[in-house]
Amino acid sequence: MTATTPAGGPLLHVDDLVVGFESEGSATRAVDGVSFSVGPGEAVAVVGESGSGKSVTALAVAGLLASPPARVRRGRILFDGTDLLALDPRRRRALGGREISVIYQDAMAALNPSITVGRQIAQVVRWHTGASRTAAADRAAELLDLVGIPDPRSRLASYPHQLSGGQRQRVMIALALACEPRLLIADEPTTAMDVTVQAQITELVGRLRRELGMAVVWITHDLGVVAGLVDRVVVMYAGRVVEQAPVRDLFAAPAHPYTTGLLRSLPVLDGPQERLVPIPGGLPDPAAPLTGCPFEPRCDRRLPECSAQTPDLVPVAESHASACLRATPEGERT
Amino acid sequence: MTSYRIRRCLQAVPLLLGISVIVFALLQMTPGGPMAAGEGAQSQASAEQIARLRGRYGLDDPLWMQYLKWLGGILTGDWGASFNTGRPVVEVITERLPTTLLLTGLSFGLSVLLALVVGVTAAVRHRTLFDYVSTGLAFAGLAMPSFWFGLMLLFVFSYSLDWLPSSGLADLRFRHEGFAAFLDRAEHLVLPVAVLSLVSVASLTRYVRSSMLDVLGQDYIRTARGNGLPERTVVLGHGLRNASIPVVTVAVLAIPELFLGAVITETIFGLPGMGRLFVESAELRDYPVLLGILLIASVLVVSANLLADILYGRLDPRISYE
Amino acid sequence: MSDRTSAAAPPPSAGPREPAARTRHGVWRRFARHRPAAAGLAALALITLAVIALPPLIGYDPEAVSLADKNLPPSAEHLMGTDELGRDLFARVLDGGRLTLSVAAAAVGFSMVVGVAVGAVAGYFGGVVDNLLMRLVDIGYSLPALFVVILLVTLVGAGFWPIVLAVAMFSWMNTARLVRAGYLSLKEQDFVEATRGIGAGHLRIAVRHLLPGTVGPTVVTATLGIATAILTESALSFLGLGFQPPQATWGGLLYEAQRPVIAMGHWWRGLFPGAMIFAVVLAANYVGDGLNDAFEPRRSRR
Repeated sequence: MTATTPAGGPLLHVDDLVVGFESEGSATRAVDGVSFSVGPGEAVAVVGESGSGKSVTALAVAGLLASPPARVRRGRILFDGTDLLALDPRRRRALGGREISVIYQDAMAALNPSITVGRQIAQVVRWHTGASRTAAADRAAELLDLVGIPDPRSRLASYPHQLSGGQRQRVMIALALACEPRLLIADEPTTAMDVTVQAQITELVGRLRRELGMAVVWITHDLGVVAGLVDRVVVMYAGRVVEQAPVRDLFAAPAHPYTTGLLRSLPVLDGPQERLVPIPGGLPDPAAPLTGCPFEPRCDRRLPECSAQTPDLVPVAESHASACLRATPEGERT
Repeated sequence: MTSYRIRRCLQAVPLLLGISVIVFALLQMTPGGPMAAGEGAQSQASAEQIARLRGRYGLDDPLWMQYLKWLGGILTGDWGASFNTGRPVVEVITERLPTTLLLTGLSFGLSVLLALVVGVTAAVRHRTLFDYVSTGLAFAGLAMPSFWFGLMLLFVFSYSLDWLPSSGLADLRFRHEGFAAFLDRAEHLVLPVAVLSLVSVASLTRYVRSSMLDVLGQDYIRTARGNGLPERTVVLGHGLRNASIPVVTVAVLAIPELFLGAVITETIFGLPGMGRLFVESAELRDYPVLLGILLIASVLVVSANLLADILYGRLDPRISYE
Repeated sequence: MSDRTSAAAPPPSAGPREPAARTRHGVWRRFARHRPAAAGLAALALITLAVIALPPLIGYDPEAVSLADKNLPPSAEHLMGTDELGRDLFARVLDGGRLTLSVAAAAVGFSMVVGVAVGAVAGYFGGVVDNLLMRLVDIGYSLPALFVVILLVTLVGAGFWPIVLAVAMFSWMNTARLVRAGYLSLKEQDFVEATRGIGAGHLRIAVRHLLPGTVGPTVVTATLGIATAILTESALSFLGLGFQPPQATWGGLLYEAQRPVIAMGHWWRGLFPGAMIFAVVLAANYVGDGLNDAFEPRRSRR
């Protein structure tokens, strides 16, 4: 199944998205003007620490934000040219459900504990294809096999709590694939796992992406996990995009102090063992209005004007942009 | 899993025994005691007859032996005879049982239905006017004495509007046939069922709403929505399906409550059921019947609790498939 | 086993309370913020005051028969109308209120004492004692309250104390359970070890140190217990098995009101006594809810 989009345009284009949360009188901006694109079949990582707005962005794209506390205040989410935010809820749900799928961090919570995995998958298959019960069951077994579950036929009758953590994650992936989506959003699916399972799942998603031509948006706080999986990286901080680059370029020549900080805090298994350097300080208060660069208080390369002027994303190299006042195409200015 | 069920059933046995001991103790406290209970209040016995009766009832035996004999009688269907009519207690009670079963059954059905509809809707429309109003009504319903509710309903619908009859199960003026008979019966049951259901509708609705709200906040609901399933399937097929597991337990426990409530309802509406039999027997000091009904009601409560426990285990796959 | 008492709000959850949440000041403040609860408390206070203080003020003797004034609907002179003997209903309602509330208060008082005693002993000593007492609690739950109350009153007669005790016999279980749970958790804490270390005896520990920790849920249960007690006693009286005339609680007034309301349309006979029951039970439920939240602010409010 290959992806097609009108004449070379991106599959997903998020344009200046602003999402706020309102509760008990206080309003916060979780996503503050985020833009990025994902081409058909492309894999993009969205990286940032907790609270950076990366999950909210992903859920907004998938249309799964809980609307009373959360509200999209501005922006467009273009999927295949159609602005999802402009659609009425039912069509949005139909379109989003079919074309965009999400896998989550907690597979046990994301699966209904009272329904067998086979039935949960078959239900989605039947809804989207109108297949008969037996055909849907067959397809469910196929999907379980596709995600690497041994003996898929007999696994159809299992309940989620009867499976191991890794298997549950695979089942969740199979469920996500049931509607043959063109875009898979992975919201920190491996964060709670040990490294071997992490590697297995990452490898699985990579394989599926190649076989099915699916685009992938992988949300994580750990750059190391996605290094071998994605084509491009979008770095988020405090609800804004601070850097975007092809993955190699990001690792080789980071153009934003936050990215540098992230890279420095990654443990490295080969090469000289250096001290891990954490980034001091914490995220800014999401309810306070923004003045200047959001990273400025924690930045070790800040300039006086950084506290007054909010940097825009500017290109510094081919397909590489950074929101730092010091970033220029010629390299970092002093 | 079955070991859990067996264990629960076994736990119920000492409970039932304890209850039987208490009932036996109460029996001893009644004037005339077990002897009078056995023969009905056929007083005027000579000393010789009394001695013979005492021998017959083993009243000179030690207490524990009396208890065992009495228990044996209970288990074999000998519950003594009514003071009032002399007829066997079992007969008197079973005569009145169908009415109570009808009333309780209808109320149960109505309560569950209404609770599901209102509770689910209130949960889905959380924090809207419907939610607030229905929650408020449910809260008020729990505080309202059913007999007051009944009296007021009777005033409005029976006295003022004359739409519905005020008592009995059927029209006493003439015999209806076929469909007319059905309608007549229905007319007579509308108000009683409404009154009896008051408390159980209120509490069940609260539980359904609460359980649904819990479930709707779970991640798997979001997954189902994300997979494009229509809202109805998500709310009912995933939401209600899971939310109803704890609700079933509460619903089962509501059954004995309905039986108790029937006492009042049958009294207000003059229905010939077990509940009213209890009140009548109390007025007549007909202890054998009173104790008989008490025994039945207690067994019912214990059984309902047992059933609720077991059902919960069976319905939740996380428990039944260990 | 079922721990639902008939027709009152569901019982509160049990468990240890954080020391911070237990400060009297904090509890009171949280309670006052809960508007329905505060309103409920005010209503209860008002009604209690009314039934105690008003009767001497209004001048109508509840037992004064006046056949000329019989069966009058509510008016300025007779706020709640009169009954078939011409007695002023407002006076009877106030009188009945005094009786109803005192029965309820006494019943709750008794059930608290028994419940706390049973719960404390069971929770403190644990083991076989606990087991045995809990079996008793189970039996208490399994016997249908109304039936046994009716039976007891039939056996012993419908006096004040028999009725109070009968009603009390069926609400001590909730308290016992909660107190027991409180003791089970609190007795493991370090300060108990410390107190024992300085030589305090069982009784002292159980009463002076552990008991205060169970105040929270006990108060809530007491409040809800009042609601249940009123409903049970009213039901008893409504069935004609409670207090005998001319003594009448609100339930008794409803008993007398059956024929007048249904057959003769004297709606005021039924409306007012029942409305009083409803008002008090509703207020008590609100207060109980508010107290529950005030004592355990962790619980999410829906």
